Amino acid sequence: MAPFVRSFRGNIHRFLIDVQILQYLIILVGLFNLSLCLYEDQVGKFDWKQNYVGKIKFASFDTVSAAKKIIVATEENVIAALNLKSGQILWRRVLEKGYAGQIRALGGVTDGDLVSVSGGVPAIVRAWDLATGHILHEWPIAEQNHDRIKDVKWHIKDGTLHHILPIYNSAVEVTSYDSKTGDKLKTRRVSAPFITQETECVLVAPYLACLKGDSSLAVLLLVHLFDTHSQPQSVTINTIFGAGAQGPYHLESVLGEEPIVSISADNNQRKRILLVGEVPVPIQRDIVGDATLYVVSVDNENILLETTYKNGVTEIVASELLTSKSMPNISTSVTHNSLLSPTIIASVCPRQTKGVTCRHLLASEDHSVALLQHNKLIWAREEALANVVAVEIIELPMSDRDQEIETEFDQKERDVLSMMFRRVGSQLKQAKTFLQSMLSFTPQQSNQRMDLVRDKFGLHKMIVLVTSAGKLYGIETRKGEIIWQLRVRGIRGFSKRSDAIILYVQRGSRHFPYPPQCALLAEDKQTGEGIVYTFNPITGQPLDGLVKLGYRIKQSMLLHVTTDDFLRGILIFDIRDKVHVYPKSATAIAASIAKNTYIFTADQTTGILSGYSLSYSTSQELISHKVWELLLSPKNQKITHVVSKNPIERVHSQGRVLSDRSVLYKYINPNLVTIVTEGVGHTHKNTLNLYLLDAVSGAMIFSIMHKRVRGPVHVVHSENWIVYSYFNEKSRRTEIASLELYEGKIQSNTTVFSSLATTKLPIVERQAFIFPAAIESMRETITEKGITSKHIIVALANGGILELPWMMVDPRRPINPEVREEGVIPYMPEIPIHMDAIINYNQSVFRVSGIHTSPSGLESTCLVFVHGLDLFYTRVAPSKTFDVLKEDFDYYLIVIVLAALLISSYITKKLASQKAQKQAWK
Amino acid sequence: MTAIKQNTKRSKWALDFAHKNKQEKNVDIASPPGYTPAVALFHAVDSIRESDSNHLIIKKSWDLALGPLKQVPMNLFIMYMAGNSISIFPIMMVGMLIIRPVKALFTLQQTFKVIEGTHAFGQKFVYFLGQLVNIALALYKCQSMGLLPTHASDWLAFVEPQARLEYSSGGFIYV
Repeated sequence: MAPFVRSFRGNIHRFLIDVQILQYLIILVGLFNLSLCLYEDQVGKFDWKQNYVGKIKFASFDTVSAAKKIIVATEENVIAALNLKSGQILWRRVLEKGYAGQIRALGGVTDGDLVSVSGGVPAIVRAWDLATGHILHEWPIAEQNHDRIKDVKWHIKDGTLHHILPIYNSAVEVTSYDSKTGDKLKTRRVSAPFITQETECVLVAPYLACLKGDSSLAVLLLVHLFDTHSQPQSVTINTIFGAGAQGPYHLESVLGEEPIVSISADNNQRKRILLVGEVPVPIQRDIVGDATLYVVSVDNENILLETTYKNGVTEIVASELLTSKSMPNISTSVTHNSLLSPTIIASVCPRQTKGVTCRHLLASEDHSVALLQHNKLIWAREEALANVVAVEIIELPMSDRDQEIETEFDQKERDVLSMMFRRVGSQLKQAKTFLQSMLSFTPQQSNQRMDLVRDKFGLHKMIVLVTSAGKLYGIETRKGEIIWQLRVRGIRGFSKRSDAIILYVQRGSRHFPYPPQCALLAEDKQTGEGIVYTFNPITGQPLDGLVKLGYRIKQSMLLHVTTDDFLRGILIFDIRDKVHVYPKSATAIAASIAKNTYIFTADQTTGILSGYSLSYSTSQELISHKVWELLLSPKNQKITHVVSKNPIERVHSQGRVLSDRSVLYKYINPNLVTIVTEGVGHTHKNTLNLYLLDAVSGAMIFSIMHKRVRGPVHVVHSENWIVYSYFNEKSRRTEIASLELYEGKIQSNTTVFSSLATTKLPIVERQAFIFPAAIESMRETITEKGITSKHIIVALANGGILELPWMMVDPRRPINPEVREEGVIPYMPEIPIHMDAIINYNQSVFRVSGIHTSPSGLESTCLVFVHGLDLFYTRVAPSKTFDVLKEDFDYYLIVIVLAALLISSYITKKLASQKAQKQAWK
Repeated sequence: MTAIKQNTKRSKWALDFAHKNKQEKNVDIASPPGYTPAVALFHAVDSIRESDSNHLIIKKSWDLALGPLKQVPMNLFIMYMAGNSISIFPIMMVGMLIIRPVKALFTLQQTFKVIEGTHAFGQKFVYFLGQLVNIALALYKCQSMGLLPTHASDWLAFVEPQARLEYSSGGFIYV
């Protein structure tokens, strides 16, 4: 017995020791984790990031891997894997920007290896690892015919990549490559002499279907691509539609695994489908013209899915392909806010124990993506946010209680009695609401969310985003939550300004009880005429709705004065140089300031800059009058940038103190515009010209030319300085140049600035620096009063966002180190990138298209919003947070110390008086 | 009644400190032992030279009036020693140099309350002048230390931004 007990005890003991060691291990690992997290207590506290992929181009369900996911390729040149359950991005690879990274084909997912073809000349084939998104193979295809790249069709099947190029009037050339190694396997020519430039061809592997002619005699020709001996089959339109179909016809391939084409007729009123095979089978059934089709196989049976969208209801009707027998168990009907004319771009219908459940990936017209599983929307992604074209950051309105106080004191009459009544009334109301909330009666009816109110420091704001899809979003800044979204249908951005949509804040949220108002300026999709769309930026409610202007917009401008109801009017300059005011009620106020209002336009195609004055306006009508004109790009030069200053910018310091304590006054011309032209110079070298132009008088203030320099150019224009970056071809590096303008040691006019009364040109200081990274975008910080020093927010191509102090690019940095001025660093050609100046730490953002900065209620703090493929928001304090106590400020300590001092002073006073009394008695 | 009784009954050597009657005021009391009237006489003789003491007052008050001027060399020395660097001790010294004369000027009336006589005005004036000299010296020190706002840069923070007369806007044409 005893040995057993002893051994048992020993076992217990050993077990306990083991447990202890385990505990130590756990603690050790925990500590290791902690030490990694050093300095990370503030991660995500002031910033947030959202990842997007863009508008979906190709998608397919990955059903072969262990982890089910969706592989997508997008218009933004991104290949990504989305989680099937949540829609989150599992991995994302951003390819080259623009044309060089355009994804042309995606395939091979069903075989377990993902192959993509991207770019143009040369096209690059990449094989990806499905699980991690790593590149497994990469090789280029040397394209023979550079100009035909857009006609090339790609087909990826069984590890082979087919490059299909129709050659006009002769044949279709099919070149096959091994998709992994890039070895050329075979080149065939299938004769197809009917293909001309006008022929509409679609790939329905293994066939190429071409529609020839558009009258009723049109013929559909099918070419088998992998059988060189076969003859093209032809199917007439009449055999598909029967008699009586009217052109024009339109040919489309139906997405899915089966080779099926759809032909629409009668001006896209109806369509029919044709099953392509050795013997083409037309399905004799009319399908609604606006239905989108997808063919999915369920239990080796082909099912046709027709998706239609009407009045917010998305209906997917499934039917057997050949028999047209409807399948109600697969058909669904869904009503959801985030669906707008969706199309199925990928679908799977696996057989499960309970039956067939279909998953459809739906891409909406507004770029959003949603996963539908058996008439339930699993998730939706707002991919329109990957292409933001305009941003405004707007203050939130006051809370209900503040608004009540505001209404209480906002009255015009100042009668003691009525004011008292109002006071008592509002207090009664407050007491009532308090009682109601205490007794938990009906919840307080409020037209706004409780947390969407202005905070003490003005840090909580609303970001209004306009996307290229014509969808507007309201995002609050604290967590990045989408508060509202709004679709404006039938608009598009101004084509000449790369689909820009103009967003103006007509009224902020400070003018209670008037609602804040934003206006959108864009083009009508059909006519190209201008539209104005006004909405409330806090709630996302349309105000006046879509107003069609009936003319095309050339330029526009937000007035700096407000009407009686605090609304800032918009001056719209139409293509015939007529000036309109929106809203009409602002015409009088616009006419009153027209004398001092100027508009300038820059024409990119002709290179002409023109300035218009409105001084001839009458009180009823605004009349524009051209006052100056300038031809800026004579030969081979193109205007690429016109950069004005931020209109809300304020400059606190009017000069700069020199080492001898005199002042160099800044040349702060609010009408100064930076114009950059790029092009080829005299000796066929890339040159870049930068002009500083006064937009009112048309006077050229300064100009500079850089030789052997090309874009991308990014310009920041603020206060009295301009900072711009370019690529130096000679030294093959990015450089940042900065200009600074000074009036001199004496201010010519201390009270007002008039562009028309300038006496002499400013002194220009300039310097250039080497920047050791590629730049995607630049923007200066802005604060409420302009006291805080300026930093430049630079988005780097490697995904970082750098906060670069302007002091580093100060053109007065002395080359001679003996000349010292206060706060000026001696010149060094290189600007170092400090890793702790990267404000987005490890949260890289890619494909940055713009940075928006906005002042907060604190003078020290500036809000930064970066948009591109990702959205990133944070706040920066260029001069440190001098106006806020630190977060770790010890309130308790100071209270304790103060209390102790008070008490001790009281006690010592008592003691001292006692002592004095004793002394007196001695 | 008892008091009166006591008074009537008092013996010859008794001294009553508590009560003093009018009648007793003029009672001649013997001088305390050791008291020699000759000493008192000597004092009386000293006070005879009154005009002489008046002269002394004037002399003393001239001393007072010339005090600030006498401080000047000392102040100069302190200034020289303090140097032109701006740090806590030179600043304290310069501060003292300025504050002291200013304070003295404010308490001028009090200082000269005790002083009367024919020279009073002149003394006051000299005193005042001396303090002014001291202030000037201190200001000169401030100037050489660069503490006086005499440059344009010192007033830069108060320069208002220029008002904008013309408003312009524009850019690339949209269509």
